[in-house]
This record gives sequence, structure tokens and C-alpha cells, in this order.
Amino acid sequence: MTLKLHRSEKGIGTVVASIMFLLITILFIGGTFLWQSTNEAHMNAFEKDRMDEGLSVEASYKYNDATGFYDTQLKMKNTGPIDIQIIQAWITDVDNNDHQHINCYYAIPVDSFEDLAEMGVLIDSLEHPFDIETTSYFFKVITERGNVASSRLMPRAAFLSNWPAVIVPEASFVRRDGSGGLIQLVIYNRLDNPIHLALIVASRLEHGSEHSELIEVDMIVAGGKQEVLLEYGDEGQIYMPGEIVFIELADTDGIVVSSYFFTCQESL
Amino acid sequence: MNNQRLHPLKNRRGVSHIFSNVLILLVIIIASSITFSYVANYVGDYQSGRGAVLLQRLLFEDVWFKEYNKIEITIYNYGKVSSKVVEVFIDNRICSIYNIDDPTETYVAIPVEEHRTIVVNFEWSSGSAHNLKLLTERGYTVERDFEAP
Repeated sequence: MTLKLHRSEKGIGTVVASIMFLLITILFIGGTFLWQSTNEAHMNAFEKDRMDEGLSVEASYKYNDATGFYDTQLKMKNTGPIDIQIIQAWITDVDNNDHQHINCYYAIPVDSFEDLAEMGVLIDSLEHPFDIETTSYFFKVITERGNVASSRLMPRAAFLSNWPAVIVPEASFVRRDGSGGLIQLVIYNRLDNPIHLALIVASRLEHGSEHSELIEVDMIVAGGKQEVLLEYGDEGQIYMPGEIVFIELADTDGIVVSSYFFTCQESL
Repeated sequence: MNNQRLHPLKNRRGVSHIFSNVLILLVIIIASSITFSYVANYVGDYQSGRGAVLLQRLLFEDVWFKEYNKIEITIYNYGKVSSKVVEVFIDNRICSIYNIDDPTETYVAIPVEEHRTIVVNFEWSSGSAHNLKLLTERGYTVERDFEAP
């Protein structure tokens, strides 16, 4: 009996080794599947968090009583159900096609907000001087989970106006030009959809006369600007320096979308 | 004794049996080692390669259409593994990559939670939308349309 037992144990080592080999191989494969499914679950949870992130960014002007100027600010508010980590902020000078960024780290808990303290640094990094009167800017911040929140900063006149299209006064004028006249308008689209301008009406308030003209202006994209230049010869509309000219702009449907009072400037 | 002389190989039966066992054992050990190393390598490669595609995430952080037909693309890696961008396609055309940080490289490696900038040459047209696509070494792609200013 003992002899038989010894004989039967001869192959046990090989069998055990084979089983162990198989087990280890299965463990490898099983481990890989487990690793894969764990990753999937982890990334699904990560994507859910990413989708849940709610961040609103608002770039605006704030009047500074002490300096008498407008300060620019970027307010970041967490509107979602989870905390947010800001890692980067960008500024785009839309008119001069310049993009700059800074690294910044803000942890914004649920229902709280932060002002971007590095606003000055960000603005100073631009190649062209920061100009709130005529230039459009675009701000965006990046979260650690890979979301982007952005806000436009329109020229100050547009920010303070309620018209859909805003004539930027600092870049626009009505001028006596030699023996004729010249109207230059820089128009900013405040809306989130394009505007198509078709008509300009210039009224000489002191003379009681009105001059309207169909104009051809390319469609102004959302947040975009367009320059309109109208030149008049001797036989055309002649404005006298110092007189008030009321400009109105209408879209293709004839709806007035902007207006502004100009004082006619002297000829250059 | 006489039998041993007549059949000299009979005495060597035991040696041959041990030798064959050792030989089989060696073959098994070698075969097992090769199989184990293959499986281990395969698993390792899979986890760091194709299997890790699942963990890759890239974001077009900023796209700047610059003068002289240059486009500067800033990418943020918000995934769980580092990524290596090996190709950039614009409007389905392959563009050569210029790595700002290391101009000698034709790819851009982006560690986790890091940002990198790629410059590509492409004749973009103002006001048009261009489709940008990134391809990583592991085969992960990310694409988006951007409108040129």
C-alpha cells in the first residue's frame, strides 16, 4: 500500500506546477480585466464629475470711486454641486488677435465665488495696451477637470448700452471733410447672434433735415466689430462743424438697432 | 552478472529516466518562463499602451491662428496618464509638429495635468472654420472645429 502511494505521488509535482502555472496565467488575465473594469468605473465617475462642474465667469467693469476710472474684473462663480479647481486663465485681444495666459490656482467651493486677483498681470501680458474704450476682449478659465468657462468683455460703451448694436464713440465721428462730409462708425454687436445692418439714418437736428442711406455692411458676428465709412462730396450731405447729428442704424428688417448723437468735428 | 554483460544498456535505464525527467523539467521551466514573460510583457504593454487609452483625456485649451500661416495649439492633459501627441490633422491633412519646448522632437509629450503648446504650419483662411484633430501614440484622438479670426 505504501509502495503504491509512493508510486502515485510521482506526477503530483507536475500537476501542481501546471495548476499553479494556469492559476498565475489566469490571475494575470483576470487582473488585467479587473484593472480595465476598475479604470472604466473610475473614468466614468470622473466624467460624471466633469459634467457636473458648473462654473460661470463674468468679465465686467467696475467704477472705482477712488481713482475715477473703471476697473476690470473677472468673477468666477461655482454654480455646480461639486468643488472646482481653477488652474489657468486666458485673455484674448479680439481686435489685435493676441492670446496670453497665466497659471493661477483657485479652489472654489460650492456656491462661492472668487475674483481673479491676477487680472492686472493677465492684462499686462498683452502685446497691445489694454483699451476698454474700443477693444473687445475674451476671457476664459480652465478647470482641473478639463472644463472651460468664458466671458466676453465688450468695449465700455457697449457694456453700458442696451442697444443690440453699439456705436463705439471713441472710434467713431462725424466730420466736415473739405467741402464735403465724412461719417465713420465703429459698430459693436452686443448680441449672441449676428446682426446684418442695412440702413443708416443721419438727422441734422438743428436743420430739421434727415438723410437716410442704404449701406452695405458685412454681417457683424456675435461680439464682433465692423467699421462703416461714408464720404460725401460737395453735392452730398454737408455737416457744419459743431452741429448735432443724430445717427440711427437699422437692420434688414428695418428695426432700429443703434443710435448716437454726434457733434460734427472740424475738417482736418 | 552474465546478464549484465549480455545486456549492458539495462543498467543505464535509471540514468536515462532521471535524465529525461530533468530534460522535461528544463523544457517546462523554459517554456513556462517564456510564456510568463510573454504574458507579463503583454499585460504590461497593454496596461501602459492600448489599455491606457481609456485613461487619456486631452483638451484644446487654446487655438491661436497667427500670422504667416501658423497655428498655435495649447493642449491640457486632464487624463490619468501622460500622452504623446504624434500627429496633428487640420481639415484631414497631416501637419508637421513643431514642439516649442523641444524643437528636436517631432511629437509633444504632455504629462498629467500639464499644458503644452504645439505650433503647426497651415494655410488658414480668415472667417473659415477649420477642423483640428490630435492623434496620440496610443491611438486616442480628440477633435474640434475652430473658426479663424
